[in-house]
Amino acid sequence: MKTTSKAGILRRAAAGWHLFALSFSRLFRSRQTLVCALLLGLASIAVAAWSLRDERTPAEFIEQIFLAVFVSFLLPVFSLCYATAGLAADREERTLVYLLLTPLPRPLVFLSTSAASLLLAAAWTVGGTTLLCWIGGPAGRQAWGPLCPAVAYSTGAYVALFLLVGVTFRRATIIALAYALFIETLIGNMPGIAKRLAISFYTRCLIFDAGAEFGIGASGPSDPNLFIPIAADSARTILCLLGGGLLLAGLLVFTFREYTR
Amino acid sequence: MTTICQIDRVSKWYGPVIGLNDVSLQIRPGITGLVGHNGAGKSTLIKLMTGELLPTLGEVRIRGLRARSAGAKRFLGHCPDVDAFYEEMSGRRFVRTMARLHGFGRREAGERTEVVLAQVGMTDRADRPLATYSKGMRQRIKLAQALVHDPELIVLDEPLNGVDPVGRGELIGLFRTLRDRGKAILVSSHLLDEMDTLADRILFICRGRILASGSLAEIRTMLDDHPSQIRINTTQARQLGTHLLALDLVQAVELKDDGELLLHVQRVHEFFGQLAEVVTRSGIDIERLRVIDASTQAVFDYLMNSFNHPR
Amino acid sequence: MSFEPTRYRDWSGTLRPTWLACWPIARTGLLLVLRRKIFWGLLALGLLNFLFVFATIYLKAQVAAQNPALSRFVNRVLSSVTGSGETYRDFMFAQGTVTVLLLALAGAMLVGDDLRQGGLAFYLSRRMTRFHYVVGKLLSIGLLVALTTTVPALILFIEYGLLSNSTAYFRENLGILRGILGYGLILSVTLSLLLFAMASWLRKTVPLVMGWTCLFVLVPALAALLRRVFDDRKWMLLMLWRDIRLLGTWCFGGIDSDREQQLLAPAAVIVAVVCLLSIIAFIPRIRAARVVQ
Repeated sequence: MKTTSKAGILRRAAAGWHLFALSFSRLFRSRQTLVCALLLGLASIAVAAWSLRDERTPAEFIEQIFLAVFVSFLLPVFSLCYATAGLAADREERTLVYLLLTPLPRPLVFLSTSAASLLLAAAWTVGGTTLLCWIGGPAGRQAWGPLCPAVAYSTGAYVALFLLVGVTFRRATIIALAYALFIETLIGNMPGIAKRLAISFYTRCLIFDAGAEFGIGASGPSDPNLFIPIAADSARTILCLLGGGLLLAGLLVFTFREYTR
Repeated sequence: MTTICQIDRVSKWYGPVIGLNDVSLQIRPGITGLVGHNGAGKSTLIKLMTGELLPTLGEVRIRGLRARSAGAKRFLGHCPDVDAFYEEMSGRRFVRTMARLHGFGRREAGERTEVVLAQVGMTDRADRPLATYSKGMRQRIKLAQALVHDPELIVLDEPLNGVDPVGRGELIGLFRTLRDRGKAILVSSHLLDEMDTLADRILFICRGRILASGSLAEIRTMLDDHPSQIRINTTQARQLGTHLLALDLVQAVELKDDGELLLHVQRVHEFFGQLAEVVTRSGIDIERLRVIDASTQAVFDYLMNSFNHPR
Repeated sequence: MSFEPTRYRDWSGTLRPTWLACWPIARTGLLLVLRRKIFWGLLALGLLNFLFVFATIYLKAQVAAQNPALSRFVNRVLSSVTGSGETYRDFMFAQGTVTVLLLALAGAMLVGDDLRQGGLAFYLSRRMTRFHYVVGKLLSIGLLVALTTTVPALILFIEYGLLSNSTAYFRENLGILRGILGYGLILSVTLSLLLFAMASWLRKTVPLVMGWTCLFVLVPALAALLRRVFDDRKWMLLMLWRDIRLLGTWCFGGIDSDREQQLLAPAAVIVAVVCLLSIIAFIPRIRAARVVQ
């Protein structure tokens, strides 16, 4: 009996791994990859133009390129591209039924597909950061080290949020986009502590903290009196908790929800 | 006979609308047909069996496991009615992928894939992308993925849709072979003519309730309000009619032109015994005998009529 | 065997002109979008800005009537809402995000699905041509744009006039009315042509949304960056929404600065080229649809 149960677990693990590989390969070959490549390509051209001048500083790179283009647009879009193209796309294309008919527990189905989404999104966000920093010349290369952890933490939180949206709503991409482009901006520009409801707030806190050595901080448009940043440790903890909590919520929704095509 | 799927007092509500109303039944090896109008509750029943839906009341168990549980899926193969696939894959790769997701190793999955592709007659056409398949070919691939893990219970939602007549014959042959191997097959179809020859047992469903279940002959016999109509061709129609009118089971005899008798008969199997006696005794030759309203369609019409216009 | 048309009677009425077929297409398209809850959510987001301006106009009128001493203070604090053409132009410009999101959602539904699932054949099997179909669809997209920009701006204009002391506001500001309608028309025409073209190529929701947001979010961000890099305002012409705004400003008759005046002609050319390219892009897609007449 024990042997049978062990064999059963091994079979499930193998099937779970295969589902991860299948999701990864389908996501990677999807149009999302083309879209992400196009977006990153456009951004790279702009950064290349930006880096033509010699006297650029890491602070300028972070403020003019990274915060303006990457954090406010590319980071959430890369995350939502893959997070809403996993189970949400299966649901929209009505192929989810095949996954639900396999002898894989629903939490395992969710975790396998989510892992593929997370891995690809992280590859694009961290890879994109690396590429832009490299194109950005010495200033960008200097900024790379401090920026990467902030990007990684934020990607986790964004992907978890959009995965939850994906398993909850039918039109996940639209809702995720509305959140990323409209609600985040709206909340992010609110006075007081309301902006702490936006993921980008914590990303900025981490970047300001990591970039302190370059002399950047909540200045200029991010006036410290308006921005009211929190400590990097707190921001990191919140992003981790948020990512974990949202992932758990997504898992529970997927496990107990009825998907009727 | 072993019960493979047990549905116990199951009800399913969609908000204020009832999809299935206190249904209990058992699915055993053999072919069970599921017949009902659109919106009768067929899809709800199937989705409850495949674990896509949760019952509001009652429970559905497959081999003693809750239908929604991952363990129960090992015993279940489902051919859904939706025409959706991973379109970028070939038919072979799709079936093999499904085999891998059922936990088969690479080699085993490949072998199982070839077996089921041969069963559904797609071996030589399975390398084309799914997007280029005809409707019938897509149905066969859907069927192949349902069979790839050799399940005990096979739930088929409109499996013959879009399949040409020759293909239908082949697939019906396949269903019979699977039945002979001890599989339990539930077929939902609106092609009632094929149910006559295909199903060992039929479930008639209407407005979320099971109206009748059993073999077609059993159900037909139960319909006391609708005596069976039997058409007999003989050269001595008048003489035979006189003899038959004396039988208790014969309610009416109509003498038609060119030597044809139309009988209205109750308990048709008992009647056949009495008819044999009459024919032997009187020495009348019967050229042809047909029960004209024992088809699935006729029984379905009677049942619907009785349900919609109760006395 | 002859067919006995005993229960069939020929249609004896007069069919209406084919041109009128555009309206049912537009109406059906609008209803299709309005059926979705998510649309109402986006519309509610768009209403936030409208309600703010609406309430501001009301507050200013109320304060002016009840406490003129406070009026100057209120006018200074809420200086963006003055009842001039700029108020309505800025309002319509600010509706950009919601309009873009709304169109991203509507594009696949109104156009992409027709081409992907063969819906176009149903339309063209009627007594209409591809041209009528295109006009009908463009009309439905244009109406959606008007619903979030022109219509609320008109309501605000009427509100401002009604809350003033006489009808002079309406008489003296007919130019504003022309501006609202002109800006609205440019928005509707440009966006409907562009969306139709993109939806006819990208078809599915996700790629369309991505392409659309790339055009209206990423490209403007990059344009701002390039403007800073090269210190040249001409890079701002990459922002289509801003180009349309410049034309809108012209409709309101209020381009004051020379710099903006210089950009007006290139902006008009860009908008015209975008419209032309959109038409060139969608024509082969519509022609390609197989139809049994």
